Amino acid sequence: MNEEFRKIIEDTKRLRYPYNHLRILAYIATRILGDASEIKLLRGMAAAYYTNGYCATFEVDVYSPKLYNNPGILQMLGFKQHKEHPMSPWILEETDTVIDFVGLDIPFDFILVEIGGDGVEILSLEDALAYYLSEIIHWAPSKEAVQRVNIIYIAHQDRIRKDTLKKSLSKMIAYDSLKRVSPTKFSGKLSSKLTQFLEEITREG
Amino acid sequence: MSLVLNKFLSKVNRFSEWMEPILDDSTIVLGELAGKRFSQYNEETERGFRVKIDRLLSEGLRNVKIHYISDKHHVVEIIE
Repeated sequence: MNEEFRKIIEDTKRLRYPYNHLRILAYIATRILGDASEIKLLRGMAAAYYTNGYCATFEVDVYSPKLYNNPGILQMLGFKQHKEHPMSPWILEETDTVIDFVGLDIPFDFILVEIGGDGVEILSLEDALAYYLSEIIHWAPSKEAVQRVNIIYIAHQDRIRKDTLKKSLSKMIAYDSLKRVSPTKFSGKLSSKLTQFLEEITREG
Repeated sequence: MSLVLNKFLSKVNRFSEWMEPILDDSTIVLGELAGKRFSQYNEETERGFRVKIDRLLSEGLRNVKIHYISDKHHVVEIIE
C-alpha cells in the first residue's frame, strides 16, 4: 500500500457512509486506473448516495473491466479477496469497503461524482429510480425496493426530469407496463406523489 | 375457534390500519431529510455532482440515527 493511499484511508475514516466508500473508489478510478469512468457504481450504492445513506447496502456493486482484469491492483492497495463467499468479494478491512464485480446488462446512464479531487461514476438519478421501479414492476415488490423508490423520489422530486425518467423506464422495459396498468396495482405502498408523477409521465407519453 | 381467529384477524387489520400512516410518515421524513442532507453535502456540476468533502470532514465522523419519528414529522438526530 502506498503512502498516498494510506493518507486517503485516514481521511476516509472520518467520512460518513456512503462518502467513505466513494472516496476510496474515486481514488482508485482516477489515480490508479486513470479516469473516473473506469469505475461505475450501480444499484445499492447509487441508492445509498441519493438517500444520504438511509438506504444502505453492505457491498458496492462495481462495473470495472479494467479493475476486474487486474486483481493485482486491489491486492497492492490492501484489498483481500474472500472466495468462501458466493460473490468472492474484495474487502478492504480498514474501511470495510466491500466490492462485488458485476456486468452491465442494460445501457445505463452514469453521472460523475467528484470527491476530494478525484472522481467516480454513479448510476444517474433517473436510472437509479427506474431500476428499483422496474424491480417492483417485473418482480414481487420487495419492501427494500419500495422504500428505495419512495425515499429517492421524495428526496429529489425537484431534480427528477420527466423525459429522462421516461427514457430510463423504457430502457428497463417498464414504461409500457406502467402505461397499461396504474402504478398502485404493482404496489399499494408507493408514495402518492410518486404515483401521481408516474401517471403524468405515462399520460403525456 | 373461528370466533377467536376472526377476533385476532380483526385486531391485526385494525393494527395495520393504524400503522399505515405512521410508516408512510417516516418514509416522508426520511426522504425529506435525505434531500436536505444531499443538498448540503453536494453541489451540482455540468456532469453530475461535487461532494463538499471539506464540509463533511469538518463535521467529523457522525453516526446519525433517526432516534424518534413522531406523527408530526418531528425528527431528532442523535450524534454519537
